[in-house]
Amino acid sequence: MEIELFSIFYMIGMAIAVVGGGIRVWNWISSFPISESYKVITDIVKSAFSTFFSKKICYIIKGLFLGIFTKAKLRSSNISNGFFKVAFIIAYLLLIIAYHIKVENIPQLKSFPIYISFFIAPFADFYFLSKTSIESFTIADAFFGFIHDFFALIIISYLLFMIYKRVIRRVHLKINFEDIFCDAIIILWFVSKLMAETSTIIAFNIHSSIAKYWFFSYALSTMLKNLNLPWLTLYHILWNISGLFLGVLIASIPFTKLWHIIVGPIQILRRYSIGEKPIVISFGKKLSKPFDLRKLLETESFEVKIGIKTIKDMSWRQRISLEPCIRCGRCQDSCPAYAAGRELSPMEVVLNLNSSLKLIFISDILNFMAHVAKWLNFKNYISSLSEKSEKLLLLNGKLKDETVWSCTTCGACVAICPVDISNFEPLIERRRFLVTEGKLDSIKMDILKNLIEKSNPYGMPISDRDLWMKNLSVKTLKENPNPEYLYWVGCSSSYDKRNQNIAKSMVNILNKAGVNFVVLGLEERCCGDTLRRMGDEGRFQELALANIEVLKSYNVKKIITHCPHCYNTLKNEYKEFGGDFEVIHHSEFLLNLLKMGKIKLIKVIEEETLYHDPCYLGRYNGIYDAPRILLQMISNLKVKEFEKHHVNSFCCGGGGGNVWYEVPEKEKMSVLRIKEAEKIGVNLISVACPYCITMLEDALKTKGLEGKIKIKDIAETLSEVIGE
Amino acid sequence: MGLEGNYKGIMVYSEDIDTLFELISKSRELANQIQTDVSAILLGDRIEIIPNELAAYGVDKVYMVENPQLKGLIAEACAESISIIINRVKPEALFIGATKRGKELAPKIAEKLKTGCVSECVSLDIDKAKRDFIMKRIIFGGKVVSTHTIVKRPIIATIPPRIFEKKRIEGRAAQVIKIDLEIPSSKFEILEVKNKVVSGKKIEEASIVICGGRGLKQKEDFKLLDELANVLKGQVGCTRPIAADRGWFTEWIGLSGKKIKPNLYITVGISGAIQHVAGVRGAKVIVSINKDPEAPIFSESDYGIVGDLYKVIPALIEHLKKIK
Amino acid sequence: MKIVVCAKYALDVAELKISSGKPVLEGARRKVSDIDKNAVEAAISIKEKYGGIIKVLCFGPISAKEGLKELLAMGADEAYLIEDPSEGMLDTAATVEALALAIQKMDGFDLILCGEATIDGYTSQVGPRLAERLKVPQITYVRSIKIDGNNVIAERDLEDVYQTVKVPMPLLITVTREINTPRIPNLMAILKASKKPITIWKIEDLGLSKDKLEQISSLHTLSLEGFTVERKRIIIKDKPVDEAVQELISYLLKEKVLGV
Repeated sequence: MEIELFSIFYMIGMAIAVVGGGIRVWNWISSFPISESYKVITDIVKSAFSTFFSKKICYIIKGLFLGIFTKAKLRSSNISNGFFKVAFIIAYLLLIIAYHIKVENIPQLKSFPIYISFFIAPFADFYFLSKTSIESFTIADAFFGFIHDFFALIIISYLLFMIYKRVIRRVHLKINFEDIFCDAIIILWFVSKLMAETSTIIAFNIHSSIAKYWFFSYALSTMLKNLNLPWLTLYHILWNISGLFLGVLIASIPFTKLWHIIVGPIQILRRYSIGEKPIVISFGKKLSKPFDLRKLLETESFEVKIGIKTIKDMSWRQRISLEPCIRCGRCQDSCPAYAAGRELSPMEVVLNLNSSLKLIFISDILNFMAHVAKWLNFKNYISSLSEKSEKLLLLNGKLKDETVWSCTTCGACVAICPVDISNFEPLIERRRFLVTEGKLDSIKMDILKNLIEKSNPYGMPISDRDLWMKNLSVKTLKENPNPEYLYWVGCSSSYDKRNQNIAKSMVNILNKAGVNFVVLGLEERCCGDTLRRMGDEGRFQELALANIEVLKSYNVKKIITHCPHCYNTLKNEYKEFGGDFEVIHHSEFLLNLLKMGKIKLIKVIEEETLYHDPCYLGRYNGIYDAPRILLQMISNLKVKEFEKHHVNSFCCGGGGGNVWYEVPEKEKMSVLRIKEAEKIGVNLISVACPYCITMLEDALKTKGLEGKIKIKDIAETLSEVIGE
Repeated sequence: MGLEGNYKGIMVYSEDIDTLFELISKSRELANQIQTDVSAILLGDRIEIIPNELAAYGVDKVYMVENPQLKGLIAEACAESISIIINRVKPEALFIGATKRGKELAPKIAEKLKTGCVSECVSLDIDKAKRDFIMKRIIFGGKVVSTHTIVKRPIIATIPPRIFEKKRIEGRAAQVIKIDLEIPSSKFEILEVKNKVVSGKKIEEASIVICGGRGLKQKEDFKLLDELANVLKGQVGCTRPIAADRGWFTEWIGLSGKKIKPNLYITVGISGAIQHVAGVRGAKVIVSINKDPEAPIFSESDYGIVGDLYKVIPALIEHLKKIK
Repeated sequence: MKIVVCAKYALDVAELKISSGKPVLEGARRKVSDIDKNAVEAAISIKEKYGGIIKVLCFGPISAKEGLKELLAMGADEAYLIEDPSEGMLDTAATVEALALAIQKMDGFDLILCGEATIDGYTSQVGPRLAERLKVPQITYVRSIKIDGNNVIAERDLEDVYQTVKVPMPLLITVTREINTPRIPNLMAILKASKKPITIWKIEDLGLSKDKLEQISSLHTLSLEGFTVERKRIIIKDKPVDEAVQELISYLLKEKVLGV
């Protein structure tokens, strides 16, 4: 038997896809030494295999189906969308499996070796329908016929729905040719296939008792069979056309966003294999460690590459993680910086880098040509070729400085991304590069300088760090070396007169509850959150190591802090540097005191309060309930919610160092947040982060709402209701 | 101190005439305590000051050097001239006005004469018994007053303008001694001299800064601050919200903007968030005007007026104009 | 071009504490004087444009090595520390003597850069004295530097004018804060710089002795009186505007900050 044209189309398509896929894989591994490239590929293959043939397959199912579904449920008011997508993926996967089972059961195809029958599988009906008879027709064949049409219809309707959303409702973005092409080519493949089946049914006049299982094609055939067309010629042509569409579809996978079919699962798999719940972000709470200062000091080798100057400076994991983007635009919709009118769209960041990623191959070719030119002694070309090759990889145009500094690292984009892209990771990496090169403006330079010289971002004297505790009954570790808890105050509440009130409230509560606690006083330094998130990795590690040394020297075990930034850094980031402490956020600690009856309320708050989720507490660490329950317990009234709350919470604008510098924008994030609160109409906004207080109080003044709305830390409110 | 007995009299120099008068007045006072003379030095390629004007403040002798090499009062030529005069006259003290030119001149002379020098004295006294000069200056960023003597002669000290008062004494005359000197020609060539334009001056360099905050209701109200700045010869700035949120100006003062250390910083309608205060910590004197007595800025201020800025500022302008 | 930058490992005055009327100098924090960093930065930008070698020189305590490391990390090529035997009790004449002998021990210079003053003592004396001691011309209060052949063209910031001058090398320049923003070396640069050697000289290596320096040093300090610089917080309220304003002006006149 001869191989039909449609299979040849499919083969050509597959060949192109393999070459294209090869190029993309090349882009992942280029610039790594061969041994490492080999490791990269074997790692991916191994993890794929081990996952497929182990219990981890559950993760895939959970990741692909539950994951997408829960994400959609958590983050979108429109669950049907997520459900539809899940149905689409299931339909597609099952259909592919069905084809391959089917093709093995067609007797006349037995002569083909398996690698050929692979390319015949999608066209099994071409062979099956024309030769089948009522006698040999089995229930399995009927089942196949039914699910074929059923799944094809699900797929077509999902894609039509997507096109409708894009073109008519224009939900996400501008109409993009690539998006339409990707939707259309799948539709065309299935429509042409259904048409081919219809024409086969007519051409061979298949008995309705068989054909009816192909319910859609059959219905179509009853409508069309009266048309006087040369069906016997036509059916063959239609099968070939469908083969052509399939070939184009397969060939386009590595060249379009359809590539997410391949890399999306890899990404989701990674998330589920590290066991993160969808209510916290998978990237950001523990930034990557490009080097370990202790090791560098030991070995005295300081030649390390930090940050990304070119796209090739990204690790292969980072490169792969950008690729599943399908331009759904959810990250952009959720990004507070974008909403504020800053020069930042997390989606554009990913797309720009993706386009850069594709240039690696071209750059490598140019570089190869430069080598050839050198070998052939074409002097004129050598330098221009290698120059061009290098230029292609630079990220200057792709990641503008303004964009890089616009991010508050709030993580809303990462939380909402259906394929778990770490949108702001490249921004942090770029900051690391800019810091290493000293390419900062004087404002940011001063912040770093303050942190380096004075261990606080304000540049206030180190020796003033304990001024807040004057006249308070607080002991330092020096005075009480055997406390149960260390209360970590943080820079903001040590120096900022407004936020010192949080620390004072904490001291009042802890003393009232009889907690045996101390503070570090003058020995406390910045935790390093700002330094790390502004890209000064070296200084961060220096500070972290110094803090850990102090904490260890006093044998500190448990740390309470009211600052989510300190909390995140101490809890999640210090571990890698030998600092393993039990870190407790004050919201959970205070709630516990209340529940255990350690503190007595002398009154309750009678005001309605709105709770604002700090990014580093909620999205980063999954603490959503404790502050709400605490407020509930001390209030007569219900805790209200912002429109965007929990994992969707909208950043105050203070994270990632943004509280210390300005970025050009239309309207401040804090103002947008206050507007939201104004609409809801409350007098009290409760928060659990000093930066949120700074930012939101500033916005209150901007909006002229001072006096009308108050902003308080939960500790301040609690301190008020237990009396001085 | 064996030699010191030979050194007598107080000598002063400043290219700034008012400072010179002040130094003469102060020196007269000191010289009277130890019964000695006050002499002054005038340098220049053409001297326009009438030496007898100096007598009215209590000078006994005026040494005048007119020399083309002294054009532009280049430090090298001035130091050369003054040290020659000192070697001839042998005064026990040399006081130089601590203008920028004076401050680069004094240590040069001290080095030539191998003696000590106290910069920017804010107080000068004499221990009559020991015939020692007691000098105080402010160091360590204003936190410490140090008291010094110099064991060699002549002692050299620089004194900032407006530290001492000038006092006219009527009916005195001074002896004028013109000195011709060989001053070696200098390699120092002045190409251009530009006048500083007060308004074009960088806000970081201004010694008086007035800063407006959210208490100012509209952009036009900053004219009020401009007017105050005119009277005080200061500069006007604003806080971050005024520039970044309202967009009235492009630059602001604070941690995320310009960090400044003026002598006098006047805040108008500023509540005093830490991001602002941290940027002006170095200011010598902070004055705040705000209608809210609870505003945190008052705890960061040396002086404050609780009141409506639209009333306080015009009154302040009016009263300042009177004393100028 | 051979550039020597003189830097002081000064008291970090912001951290200085006053205890019962005296500054607590023992164990007080130190750092490289801010304006000296401007001088190093200026040297680096000259080197970047015109090439050369930058040597930083410090007269101070042995702990000044920490500060010199930072300057090496910024981009200085060599560092020299003359150990001060007197714990900072010598005057500028003695300091300059040590600096001058150290510079003479090096293989010549084209340019010496200093800050216009140091953050702690703020005497503004070392630059001009050193120029005089080494018999080279000086350009003080410089806010921009250009090199033109063998000449330096610099803009000076005087009280009322900006003066542009041209002086042949070798010479000494003192710079103002406004000349540049000193770079902050990243930690890697500091670690790398920690491998660059710091030459440490005892004063005896320069042919000096403690006695000799004390003889040169003629300035004696009788006392140091500290006062806490807290804001005075004199708030005038509930008074008629005119009265309040007059009161304020009288305070400001006493403070001598009105420029009248």
